[in-house]
Amino acid sequence: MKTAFKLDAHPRRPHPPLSEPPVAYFDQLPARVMARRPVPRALAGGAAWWALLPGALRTSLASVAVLGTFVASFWLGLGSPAAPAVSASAAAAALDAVPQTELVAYLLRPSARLDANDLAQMVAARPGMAATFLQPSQDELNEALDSQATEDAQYL
Amino acid sequence: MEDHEILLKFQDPASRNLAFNQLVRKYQRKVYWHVRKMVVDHADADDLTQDVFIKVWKHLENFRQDAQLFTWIYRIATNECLNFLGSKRRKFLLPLTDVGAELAAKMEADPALAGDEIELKLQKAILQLPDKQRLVFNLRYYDEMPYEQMAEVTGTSVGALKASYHHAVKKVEDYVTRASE
Repeated sequence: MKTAFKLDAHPRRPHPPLSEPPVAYFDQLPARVMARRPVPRALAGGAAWWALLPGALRTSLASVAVLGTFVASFWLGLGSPAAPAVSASAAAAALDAVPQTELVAYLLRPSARLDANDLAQMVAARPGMAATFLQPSQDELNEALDSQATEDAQYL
Repeated sequence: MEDHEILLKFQDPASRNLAFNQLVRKYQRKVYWHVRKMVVDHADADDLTQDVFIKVWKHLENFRQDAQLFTWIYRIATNECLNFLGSKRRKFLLPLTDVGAELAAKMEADPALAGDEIELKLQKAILQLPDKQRLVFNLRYYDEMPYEQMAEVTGTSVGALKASYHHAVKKVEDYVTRASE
């Protein structure tokens, strides 16, 4: 029976006995590596200074620029006038100031396109408004109601 | 040229190319053989060695000098090797043993090993080890690297490296003993 193999008893080499690389391989390798390096894109004259800065400094400057943009946007946003809030009561008061004849003329002009929704919202906002303007008789009201489509009747 | 001098010159755009050339000249043999031990084939080792130095070029600017330059380069080379072997395995859906067998076949075809039966068995035994364990074995056995430095290269604890090397030696010895019976 053969004795067990012991690594310590085996002559140690600096690397496995593989064939050596081609002659002059290590003389040529640096030039081949240098030729394979990625060439940085040519920067415009104004931006060339950026490429010369160390990487850490470039990162810091970029972070400061982004942060500065946020701060400036926020600060400018605070200074801009907000759209004035219009309360419902102010709107009603402004509408009241318009003469009735002008309102009627506006609503009856040929380009006006009022539909049942508009009328329903007006009546809901100002109860009695339609009756004040139209002053209909009971028969006229019944006739108008009978001619309404069922789905529109709920607004009246 | 000392490492700190290379790094200093590399920071200056005017001397960057010269510094990098010096760096390649200084470490090319160690990187090449580190890679070659892992991939066996010269053409693969050549490609990977160049890839390692291209990565060094790209990232040297951000190299933190809390580690030794060579340890850092070794780490890049190690990752390149492991990625190469891993992608080869994934690409051809090969199990671990098949890659080992492929490497062993390349080793066997190498004329430098012709006639040295015990050495060939030893090399085959080493190639049977899983990639990471083979890496640990190579760093310790061939490069005689201290465990602390190996820990920096591999990102593994000293204790785990000692255990891994111990098991690797045992596996290699058993393999060669069985192959010689």
